[in-house]
Amino acid sequence: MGNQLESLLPQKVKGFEKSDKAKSFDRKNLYDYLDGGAELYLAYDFQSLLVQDYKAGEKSITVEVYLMETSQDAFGLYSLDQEGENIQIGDRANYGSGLLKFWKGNYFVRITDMNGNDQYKEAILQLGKNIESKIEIKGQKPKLLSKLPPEGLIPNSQRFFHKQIILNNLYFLSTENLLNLNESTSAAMGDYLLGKMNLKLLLIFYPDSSSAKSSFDNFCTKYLKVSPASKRIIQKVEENKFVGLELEKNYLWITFESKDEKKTGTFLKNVREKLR
Amino acid sequence: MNKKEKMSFTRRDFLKGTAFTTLGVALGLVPFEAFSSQGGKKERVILIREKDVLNNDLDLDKNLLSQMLDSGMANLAGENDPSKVWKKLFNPKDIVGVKINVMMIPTHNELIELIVKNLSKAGVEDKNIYIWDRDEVGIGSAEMHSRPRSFGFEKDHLSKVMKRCTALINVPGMKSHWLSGAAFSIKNWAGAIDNAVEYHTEDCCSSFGALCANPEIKSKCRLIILDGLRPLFNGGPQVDPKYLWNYNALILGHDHVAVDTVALKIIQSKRDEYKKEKWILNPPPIHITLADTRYKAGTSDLNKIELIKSGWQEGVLI
Repeated sequence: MGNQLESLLPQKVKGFEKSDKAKSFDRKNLYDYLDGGAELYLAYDFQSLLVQDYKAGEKSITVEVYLMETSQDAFGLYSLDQEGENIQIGDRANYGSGLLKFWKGNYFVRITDMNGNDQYKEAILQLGKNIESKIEIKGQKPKLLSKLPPEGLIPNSQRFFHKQIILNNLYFLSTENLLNLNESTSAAMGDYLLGKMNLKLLLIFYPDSSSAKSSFDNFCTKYLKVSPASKRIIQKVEENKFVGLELEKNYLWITFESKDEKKTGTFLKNVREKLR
Repeated sequence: MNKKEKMSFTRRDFLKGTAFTTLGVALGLVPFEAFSSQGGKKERVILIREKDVLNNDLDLDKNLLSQMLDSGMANLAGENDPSKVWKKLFNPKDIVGVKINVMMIPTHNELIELIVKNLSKAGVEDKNIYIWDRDEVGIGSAEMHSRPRSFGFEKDHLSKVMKRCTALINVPGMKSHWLSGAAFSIKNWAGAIDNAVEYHTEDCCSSFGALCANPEIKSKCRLIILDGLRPLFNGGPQVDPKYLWNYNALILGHDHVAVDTVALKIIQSKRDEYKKEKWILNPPPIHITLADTRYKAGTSDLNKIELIKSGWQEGVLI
């Protein structure tokens, strides 16, 4: 696997040349590279990682190539932080303060200059272009993202994930896994601006309808402290905000941060329409 | 040490202020005034900064750093002469373990060198100074950066280095952390055990406080020097450089929880400044509060912390 990833890397770019031997990691030893950070990648279907430093004198750039089982999970990793300048590399890329991130096919790539400025931007972008040119497959975004209503969706705010630890990093809900998120669930999150009101949508697809229903019930009773009497519930919570949730077969969707009960109801309906 | 203890805590509990109030204060969700001070002895924490210790090219002025450490040590003990403080804390018979951090936001080498130098001046023999993280150990000044040795771990998962030492110094980096919210002095002990994966749990790593409450650590750790020269305020441990900034600080103390509470307040303030609105750490670093309330390892109440600030005050954030 290491050789497959190494073949993507050029020897030299804009005065920067490979230094030392590349390091390879898999699911078993990823902790050796990312102690405390490995769980992030393992929460997706991570397969292997190659880390290669490039040097030009004292200057240094680090390339990390992550191979994921699916392109959906490569996008998922990329989606977690999309802040930065959009760049035409791979299936989607962004750059900011010495870090280029892109995904293409089932690869997720980070190229970093730890100084945090733009002095090696040209070399970083060229490295990115060279790497992506050797990845022949094109990625596919998770289908679940197409179920997010487009009206009001803030650009680059769509996230995709499977597990509770990622949800809590994006939007802390509970120390308990109230929504029964696991490797067999798929979740999409999007930020919305509806008029002047912000709203956050979490849409989850469960492997079966009974899992969706039990998660709906669990969230109602343990988080909202209400009885799951109907398939749509809107509850006022702290800070004069409303949490809304609805259930339909394998889908469960929840809105947060809304300040308007009526708009919450309308939005929940819009999601339902989009799912049909 | 009961790291398996179950807990349930939701966003709503947090916002209602019915739980984790001290954390709410540190994150700016609960007004500081809402707390009534209970009086009594306060835990001293020193925050010292110098504008020119680290420049934009990240060159570090070692002389200035040395002055910062001297000043911080003197303030911590209320002494004029920092060398006396080192001698009070460490004696020539001590075997001292210096627990650094090598992952992602590593402890600066120059700081490690200064600590080793001060220990030597206090009379600690070079062969009795262990510098380590995880299972990479260096003995004395010659090995402090290469750390070529390996000692392994005891059956209780603690590093054998720790068992061998009579005194410990904790020298963590300062960073936000995607799984635990923040990683300062408490979480730095995750690099002193071989089962850290058991603490990196989906309940926001609630059990990390058990580490600094462990008798082996609690009884031996005499000093915390947090490297706040260039902290990370979002993500972590993996670094996105846009979330690094030159804070140019050292934070010193004896109480892990107090030091981390101060560091947390700074990181949270930096996040709010960056976004120009409240940008709460996700997930909330509840392990800091639980280190206080569950494990009784120190105080997370800002009212019970005597924070002494000195040096560069622009952008101090606390």
